[in-house]
Amino acid sequence: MPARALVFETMRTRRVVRSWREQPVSRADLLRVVRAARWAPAAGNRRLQRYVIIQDLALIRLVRAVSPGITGIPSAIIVICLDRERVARLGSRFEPLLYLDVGTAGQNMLLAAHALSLGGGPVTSFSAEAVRVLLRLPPSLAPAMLIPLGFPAPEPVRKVLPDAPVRLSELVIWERFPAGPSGHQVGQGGGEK
Amino acid sequence: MSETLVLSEDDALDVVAFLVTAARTLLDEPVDYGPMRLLSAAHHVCNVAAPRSSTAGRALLEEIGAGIPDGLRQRVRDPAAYRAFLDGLCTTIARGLAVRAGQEAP
Repeated sequence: MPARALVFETMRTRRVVRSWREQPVSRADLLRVVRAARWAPAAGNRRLQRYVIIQDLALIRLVRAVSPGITGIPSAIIVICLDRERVARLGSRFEPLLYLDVGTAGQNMLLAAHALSLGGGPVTSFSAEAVRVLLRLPPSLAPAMLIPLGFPAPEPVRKVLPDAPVRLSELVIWERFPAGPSGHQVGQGGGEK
Repeated sequence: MSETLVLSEDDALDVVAFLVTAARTLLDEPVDYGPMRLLSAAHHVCNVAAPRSSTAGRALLEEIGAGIPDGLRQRVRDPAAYRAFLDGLCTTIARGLAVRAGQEAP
């Protein structure tokens, strides 16, 4: 498959994984995943995240206990933290926009993980204060997202079903909405699903 | 009724941690996450407790726990079906508890 097609195929086949096999993930692969985060777009190319990689199973279980968003037992957890000191030093304000960079980093990491036959998902349902205590985070680091990872368990994926099938044409508006008192009309795109 | 202990100290602390943490995270999450978190906790307790329970207790716990994953999938797609699933689960629990208490025949 051509490289360009592989990129699209990786994006298309990535799924959120919530149950894993009892099989460790190598440090090399975890570093590959974090390296992919560095390639994600970031405002002003200011790298304001720090990554805590957890492989110790006992510590994983503790972090999981205070993270309702993690249901299974992953083989590793990568904690994306915002570095408040770096934010202040570079003149950025600590505002919700900084979390966009957390999102782009997280997405790159999940795609890289999928390319390495790993699976995981973005988790924001966790107690930041509890995680801070468990990982002994300095006050300057704010945990923003957890990425649990591992080799997917051989179980059928139970997808959360959307309220209705989604068609691309319903999501896309070309150029701008039509003028007039009736306001916008969605579904101006083609018939592509 | 049974006094059989089916949760270890670690199991109990796990559930407490989950419920308390969820209480905090739910302040910032969609309203429908609340029932989902409660069902997740119930599912976990069923899975942990069932193997250590009496024959009758195990049967009831397995019956309750088995339906939860599929039921949760209806949460967004079919709210009416989700509500009916929860009503059905409550009925299952009520009947099971009534039988255990000798109020109903098996």
